[in-house]
Amino acid sequence: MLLAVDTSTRYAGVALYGAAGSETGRMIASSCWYSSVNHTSELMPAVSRILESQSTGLDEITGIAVALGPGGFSALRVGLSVVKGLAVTAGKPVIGVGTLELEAHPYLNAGLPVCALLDAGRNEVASASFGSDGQRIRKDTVSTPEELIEELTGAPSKDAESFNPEELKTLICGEGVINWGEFIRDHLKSRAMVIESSSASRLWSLCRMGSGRLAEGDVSDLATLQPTYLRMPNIGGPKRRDRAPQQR
Amino acid sequence: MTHKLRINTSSPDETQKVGEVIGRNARTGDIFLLTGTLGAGKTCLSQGIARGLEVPENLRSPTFVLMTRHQGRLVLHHVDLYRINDPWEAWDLGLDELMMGDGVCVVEWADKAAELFPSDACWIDLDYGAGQNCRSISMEIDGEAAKDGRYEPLLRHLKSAFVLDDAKSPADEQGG
Repeated sequence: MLLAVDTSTRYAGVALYGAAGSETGRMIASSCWYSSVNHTSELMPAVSRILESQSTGLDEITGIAVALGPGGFSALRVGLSVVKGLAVTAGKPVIGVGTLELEAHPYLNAGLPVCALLDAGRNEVASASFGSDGQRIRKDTVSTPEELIEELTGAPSKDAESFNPEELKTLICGEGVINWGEFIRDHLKSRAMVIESSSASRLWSLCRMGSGRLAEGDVSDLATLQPTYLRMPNIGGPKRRDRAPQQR
Repeated sequence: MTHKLRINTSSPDETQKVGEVIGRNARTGDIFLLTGTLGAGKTCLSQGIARGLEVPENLRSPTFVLMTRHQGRLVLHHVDLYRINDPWEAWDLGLDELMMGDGVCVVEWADKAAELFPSDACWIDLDYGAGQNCRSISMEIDGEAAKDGRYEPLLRHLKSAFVLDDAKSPADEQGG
């Protein structure tokens, strides 16, 4: 049984997935909530509640899947810290999955290119693009919505001769649709298929992808696993993460 | 265009009053970056800003807890980077998210992590003045970056409420 934790955004969620011996796996219990205060005070009670609801405990968990972002700075840190803490104390493997992968996952085999969005604040949008074959086209990027539109409309104009309207359609999904769906619809018109998002769907993807990777033994290294931040600051010099301990 | 403005005050009370005008005119998303040596009046000005934002409690510098949150007319995030050794440590605090958030940010010792701040923030330098309790308060805003003119009402109110140090604040300086 897999425990899934997603605190990428204010739409947070925890879930229990798959029973022992079940090959396809099933969603056993899930809980999504809008985190109005902070994830710090809400996450652990939510994990406890979902375990209690199934009269189970951490010892019966086979692994923990966690959403890595991009997303809220503090929110991601809270989620990953809690997951690492649980994993270390209970001796369980952790599977970290990118949040934009989670958003795109249900649509990757729909035969259309997919662009998954998350709101990045400061009037910017975080996105990931996947081809109609489901393969990722580029890494997660934060850009202005105008730049994204340019990217989504730019490619076809280079090859105007083999114009095929069907190929131009892009499936737009992810929580970023809440803020940017209308903007994209206005600019791309019929060339965008905009899918309304739900945090439950992201949690479902986290369970599916997490249990898949756990089955393959593709687990994350706890010591180096880090959230994906929206933006890194422009600071000269490396982060002094490996600062020598102080002499006593 | 860079907006510069300098006000000379002759008592802590007066410094607080400048802060109060800043707080009264502050809007969600405003960022006030305070610099100046120990005792120059950063905390005093912050207390004034808090009063202007109708924060009920008296502000103290969060030197050891690094940041505090106060609920007034708007949320006030009060940050003190005095103990920060490295801009990365300030980044670790989640300052970026704080500055994108729901309130007004006042950051003391902001020069300790100058790289972190957006170009449309309002820098305020405090310095000792001529007399014992005199201070000079210099504000600087990159008008090009603050495109929405977010600090303009504040500047107008300050200009009407206080005597400016004209020699040091040419109406609106061109260039950097």
